Amino acid sequence: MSAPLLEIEDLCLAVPGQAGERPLLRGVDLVVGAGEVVSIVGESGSGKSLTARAVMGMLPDGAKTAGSIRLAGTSVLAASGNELRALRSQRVAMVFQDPRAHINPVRRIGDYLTEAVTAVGGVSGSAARARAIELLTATQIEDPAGIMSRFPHELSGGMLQRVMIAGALMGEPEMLLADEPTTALDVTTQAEVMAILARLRRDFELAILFITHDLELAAAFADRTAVMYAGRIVEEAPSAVLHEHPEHPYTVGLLRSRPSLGHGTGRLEAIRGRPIEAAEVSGGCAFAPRCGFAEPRCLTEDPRLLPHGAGTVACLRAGELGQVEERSHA
Amino acid sequence: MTAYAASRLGRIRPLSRVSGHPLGVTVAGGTIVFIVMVAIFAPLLTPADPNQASIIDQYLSPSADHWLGTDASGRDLLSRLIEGSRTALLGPTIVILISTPIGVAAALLAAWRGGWLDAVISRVIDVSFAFPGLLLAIIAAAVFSPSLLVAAVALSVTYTAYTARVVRSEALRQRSRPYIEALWVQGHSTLSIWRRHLLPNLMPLILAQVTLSFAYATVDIATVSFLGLGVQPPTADWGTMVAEGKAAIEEGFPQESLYASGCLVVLILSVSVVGDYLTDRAEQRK
Repeated sequence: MSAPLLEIEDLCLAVPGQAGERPLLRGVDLVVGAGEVVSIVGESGSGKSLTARAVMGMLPDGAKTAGSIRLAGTSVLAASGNELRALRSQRVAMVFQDPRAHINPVRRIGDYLTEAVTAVGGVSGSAARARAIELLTATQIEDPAGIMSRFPHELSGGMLQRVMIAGALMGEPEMLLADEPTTALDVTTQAEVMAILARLRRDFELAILFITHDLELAAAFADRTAVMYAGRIVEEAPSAVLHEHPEHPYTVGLLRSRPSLGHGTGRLEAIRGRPIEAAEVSGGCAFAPRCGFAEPRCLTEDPRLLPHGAGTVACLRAGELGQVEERSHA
Repeated sequence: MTAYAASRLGRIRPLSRVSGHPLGVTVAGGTIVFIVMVAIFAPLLTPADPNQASIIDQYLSPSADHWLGTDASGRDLLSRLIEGSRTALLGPTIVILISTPIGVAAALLAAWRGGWLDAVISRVIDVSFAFPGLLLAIIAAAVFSPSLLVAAVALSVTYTAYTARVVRSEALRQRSRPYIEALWVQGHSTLSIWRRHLLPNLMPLILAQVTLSFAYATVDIATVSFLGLGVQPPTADWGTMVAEGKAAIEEGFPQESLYASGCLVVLILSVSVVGDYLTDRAEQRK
């Protein structure tokens, strides 16, 4: 593997709550190499978006952090405002879930795209324009030059998402953080946007940290997939391995709770209980209360993320899953 | 931003679409333009010297020489009304020029930095509201000497508070919107976000606030002048003319007060109508 571009080590994050501090991330470990695509999969509130935001240096008000985030040689958590701005404008860019909310509605698309480099990077207006049209063309949008003079409300969600992707690439970043970029789009548009991301990744040798709640999509798109639960990564492996041979009971549950054509029309299995928040974890494995394989020690002993097979997994019974019988859902 | 501001202004009052606005707004806008033109070209329009007194011409009725008659000193009333439009517009203009930049800057700082700075600025705004603008203007006239400039500067304190309060709440709303966050992520600096995105988005609101403040400030300045603490005689001013015409009313010559107050009413009404309209449009955009 190439030298890591992004290295997150034991990242903890807590915000002030009503009863003291409320932890949101409980020690996230993740490495993304240059040109590598890594997905983070998890339910709402598992902390996947928060992790991506932390990489950009965007922390909630009053957040307390521990651990470290190293991005292209810079320690994000210790960086000054100027260092962060340099990082954001040159090394890393972000694509959001809802492009309509994340683009100033009263500015033209051309302004949105070129400003990212004229205002921050000191690129000339005409050079920025040329690059914007080139990138719009790369996102296979129709009539790139015409789009430049349109307003956001004149474009569809799928077109706007392409615009936002083009905007993210204006500063020639080495890494792209994509926070559920296709969740708000319909399925056909989603496929197009994913295809564009895959192509851009190849053409620009981008590293991508792809946030999604869709395990299948993550596995299809990413080199490696990390599964997050209650503010921690519980399993991480090459996507194909994770998809075919999940080790963590939570990953198994996620894969089973998804409808699939191959599995007949039987009842879908939901994971029992509800996803808990990082703040509710009291000791022991966060997933233990919902886990069909939980043993008494799972309730008291906190599993660490340890190498297992081709990836890493945070489960005390890692490797035993194939051999033991799952308790039936009572 | 200039291109943007131009298109925005253009959308508020494009000449080609005047008929698209309610009739009242079109009439009010036309009236304002008319008064502004009269003020600009006043020296060319006055039929006589507005300060030329002539004791034998006292209280003349309208005639070919004096279309609106004369006042107690025999001065031509039409000329004085035309000349008075200048101070009537100048006073509120000074108020706006002072209060808007300071108010907007304070509002943005408060909304952006939050915390103690927001608390301090918000309390200063609250305290400013405790003192009516008129009272401040009267105190200022007592401390310094009465003049239009002193009155306008004193009134600006209150109008700064008005503007700051309105703009701060909208800036807070804008600040929490995702597009601002996306700009942070692109590496924009605070000033760049303010200049290129926040201010243009606040512009309709600021414009509406400026118009309404202008109407209120016109009343306040005229009142101060009426009290003799603003524009000083013999300078022609609608506010002072109302006051000067007071004595004449008892002698059966109410024209001067009537004309001057009529002009004030027309100006204030027109500006208010346009201001209300702009406010409605700014609020619709939310």
